[in-house]
Amino acid sequence: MEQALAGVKVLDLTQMLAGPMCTKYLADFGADVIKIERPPDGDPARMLAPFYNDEQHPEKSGLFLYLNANKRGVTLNLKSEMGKKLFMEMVRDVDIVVENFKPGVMERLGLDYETLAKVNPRLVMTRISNFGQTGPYRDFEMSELTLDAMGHSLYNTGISNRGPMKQGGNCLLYQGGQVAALATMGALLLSEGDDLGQMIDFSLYEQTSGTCNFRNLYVLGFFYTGNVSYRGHTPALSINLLPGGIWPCKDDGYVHFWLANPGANAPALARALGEPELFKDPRFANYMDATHKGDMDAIIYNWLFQHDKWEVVQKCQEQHLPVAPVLTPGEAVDAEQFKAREFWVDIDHPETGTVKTPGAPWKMMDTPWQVRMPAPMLGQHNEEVFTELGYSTQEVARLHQRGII
Amino acid sequence: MPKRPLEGVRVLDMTIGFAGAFGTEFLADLGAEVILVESFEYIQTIRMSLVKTPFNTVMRLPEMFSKAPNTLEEPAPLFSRMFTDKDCNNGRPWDRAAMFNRHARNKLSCTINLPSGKDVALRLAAKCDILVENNIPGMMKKMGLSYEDVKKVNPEIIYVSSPGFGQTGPWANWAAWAFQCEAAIGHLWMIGYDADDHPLNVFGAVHMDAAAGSAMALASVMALRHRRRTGKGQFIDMATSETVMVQFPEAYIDYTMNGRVHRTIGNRDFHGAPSGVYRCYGDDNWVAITIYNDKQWQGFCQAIGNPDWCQNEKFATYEGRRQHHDELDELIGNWAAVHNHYEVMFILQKYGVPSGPAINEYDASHDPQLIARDYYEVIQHPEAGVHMYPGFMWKYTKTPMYVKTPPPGFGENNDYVFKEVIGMSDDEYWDLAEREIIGGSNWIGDVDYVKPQRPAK
Repeated sequence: MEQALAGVKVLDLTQMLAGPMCTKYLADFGADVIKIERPPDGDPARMLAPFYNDEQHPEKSGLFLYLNANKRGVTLNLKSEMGKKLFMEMVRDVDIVVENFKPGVMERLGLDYETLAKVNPRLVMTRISNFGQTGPYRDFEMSELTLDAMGHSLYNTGISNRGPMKQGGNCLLYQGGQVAALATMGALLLSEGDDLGQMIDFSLYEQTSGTCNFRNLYVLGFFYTGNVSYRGHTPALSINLLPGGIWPCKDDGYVHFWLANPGANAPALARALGEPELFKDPRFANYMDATHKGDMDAIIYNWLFQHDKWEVVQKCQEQHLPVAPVLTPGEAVDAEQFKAREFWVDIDHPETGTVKTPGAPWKMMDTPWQVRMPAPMLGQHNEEVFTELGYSTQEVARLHQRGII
Repeated sequence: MPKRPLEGVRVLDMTIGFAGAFGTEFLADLGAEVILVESFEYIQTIRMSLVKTPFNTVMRLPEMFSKAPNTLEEPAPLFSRMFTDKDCNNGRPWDRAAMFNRHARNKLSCTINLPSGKDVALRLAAKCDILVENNIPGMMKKMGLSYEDVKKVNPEIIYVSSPGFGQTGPWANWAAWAFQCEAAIGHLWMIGYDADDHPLNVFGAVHMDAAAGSAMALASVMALRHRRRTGKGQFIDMATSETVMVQFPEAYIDYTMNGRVHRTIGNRDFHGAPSGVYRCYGDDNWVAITIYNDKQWQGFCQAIGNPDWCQNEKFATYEGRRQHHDELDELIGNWAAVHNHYEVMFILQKYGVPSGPAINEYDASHDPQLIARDYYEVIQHPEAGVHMYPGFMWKYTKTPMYVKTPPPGFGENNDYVFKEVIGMSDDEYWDLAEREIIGGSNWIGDVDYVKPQRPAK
C-alpha cells in the first residue's frame, strides 16, 4: 500500500531530539528522508543512552535507532565549498529542508532560505530553534528542563512547600518535533498545490507555551481576571466527595481516578463498590458537599485495600468510570492492550540485532505507518545518494578521501 | 490575505475536552472551515472552563457544579442552572469561557441535539472533508455517526477517531481522560521527587492533551494529502495513549533492550548532569539548569567565577558529575540562592549553559521573548470583551496565520451551517428548531428568554 507521504523528499539537517522527531513523523509515513550528518562523528544523539547492553557505541544507541529509522544517512561537511555545492544540488529536487542549528548558522554557511529558494522556489524550509529566529532570547540554550520551566508547567507541578517538578522524560522536546511536522505538512500542501515555497520559523518555546494545557488555563485565568496560580493547586483533582488522583491498592499498586462528571460518575461509583445505596446515606446525599469527605475516603480506602489495581480498574471500567492503573514503563510495554494492537515493533539493525521500539502513533487504514529500514549507520547511504545525484562511484570515493563526505 | 494551506477544506468537529479543542484549533488556524457541533442539553466542559463573571472573576468547574443541585435525584444539572441569575443576566456566560475562547478562534459553532438530531448531523457530515472525534468509545455508534454510518453518505470522508485506547484490544472500551492515559502508559510513574516516594499526585499539566491534539491535526493533514492525490478518504484509528507513548522512547527502549524499569529521577536528566531546579533569591523563585556536556560545564564554571570547587577533578567528566550529583546540587544551590532567577539565566546563558526561570503565568504574559515575537493575539469578543490570548505556535513567512473570526458564540453560525452548508429551507429549519432538534439560533436548554421566535409569515 502506498503511504500518505509517498513521493515527498526531505533533506534532514537536524540532530539531537526535537528535529529528528519531526522528520521521523515524515519518514515513518512514507517520505524519503535523507539525514545529513557532519563527518566524522555525525549526530551527537548517536552517543545518547540507552545503549544496547549499555555499551557506548555510535551505532548502538537505542534512542538514535528509534528516532532515525526509515531515514537514509549521508555524511557531508557543509563547511567545505564542495560540500555546499553538493548540498545545493540536493536541494534542487527536494520538497522540504528541515534544520535545527542555532539561529544564524545556516546564514553563516551561506545556506539561508533566500539562497536555497533561488534553486528551488517551491522549497519548504522548516527552521526549528529553541526560541525562534528573532527576539532577545534568540541565541539562548535550552534543555527539556528549562523548556518545562519557561514554557510549561514546572512552576505549578509539585507540592507547595517543596520545589517545582518536571514532566517525565523528554516529552516536551519530542512534542515540539511533532508540531514542527504539522507546520511542515501545512506548508507542503501549499507547495504541492500552489507551487508556493516558504520558510517556517518554528520556536520550541512558543510551541510549548501554546500546547501546554494548564499553562494555557493559567495564562487565560490571568488575562481574564489578573489572578495567578500557585504550586500544589491541581484543579478538579478532588473537587467533590468522590475520589480523585492517585490512590493505593492492595498489591502496592496504584490507580488513578478522575471523576470530573460527578452527576454520572457518583452512581456508577456506588455500583462499582457494590453498595448501590451509598449515596442514599444522608452524609453523602449531595456529592458536591465535601463535609463528610473523610468518611467517604475511609470507605474508598477500605474497598481499594481489598482489591489489586487490575480488579479495581475492571470493576470501575465495567461501570464506565474513568479509572486506570498507574503502570511503570515496563508494565506498559508488557500490557496486553498495546501488544494486542501491535503497537510495539521490532526493528532489525546490523549492530544491535532486533530492537523493540514504540511503533505507529496512529493507524491510518489505507496509508499505513511502516518500518521500511533501520536507522542508517554513519554515512551508510553515501554511495547510493551521491550516485543518484550523478556522481560516479570513483568520485564518491574521492569525496570521502577528501573528508567532504 | 494570502491563501492558507487548508482553505476550502471543511471539518466536522465532534471533539470534547482540551485535546480535541487543540486538534481542530490547528486545522482552523491552517485555514479550514471547522464546524463545531454543540449539544444544547449537555454542554461540553470547555464551555465551562474559566467563565468570566460580571465581577471580573472567573468561575471554575467545581464552583459551577456546586451552584446546581447535585443529588442523585437530579443527576445531570442543566448547564444553564449552573449560573446564578446575576451571572446570567449579564449576558451569556457560556460565551465567556476563557478556555473555549482561546481554542475556538476561526471555528464556527452550530447546535444540534444528539441523538435526536442524528439525521441533521449526517447531512452535515456529507458536506465535510474531515470528521474528528474523541468521544468515549461507542458514543459515535450510539449516535448513528460511526465511520460506517458516515461512509454511506460520504464515501471519501477522512474520519479521525481518537478515544483513549483506540478501536481494538482489551482496553478499547475503557473510559479515559488524559490522566488515565498518562497513568496506564507509565508517564505518571516517572514524575515525582524521590525514587522511593509515592507517585506524585499534584500536577501542573497533563502532556496528553498537547500530544494527542496535535496528532489529530497531523494525521488529518497527512490523510488530506493522500486524498488530494488519489481522491480517497480513510479511517484513522488513533489511541490518544499511543500518541503520547511515541514521545517516551528512552524509558521503553531501556526496558526492551536492557530490562531496566525507569522510575522518577526528579528534575535530573537522562542525558546530562548536573540537572536540577534550584531555589533563588526572592519569594518562591526557582531556576532550572541542565548541563549536557563538558563544554557547558566549563562555561558554567567560568560564568560563576571559577570557585575552587569547580576545579575539583571529580566534576570534570560527565560520569563524575553524575556520580556526585547530590554534592553538585548543594554547591549550585548555594550559588543560586543569592541570585534572582532571571539573573541566573542571564549569567549562565552568556556562557552557553541551558538555564531558565520557572515562571508562572504573570511572568509568561510579560515574557520579553514572546512579546518581541508578537506571540499573544488580542481578540475582541462581543461577550467576553477584549483580551490577550496565546497565539500561533509557529510562523509561516509567506502565509501567516491570523484570527479571521473571533471564537463563535454558542450556536452563532446556525443560520450559515443549516441553511447554506446543508441547504435547509426556512420552513424545515424552524420546524426542527421548534422540535428542539437543532438550536433555533442561540439558546440553551431551559433558558427560554433567549429562545428565538419563528418569523411571522
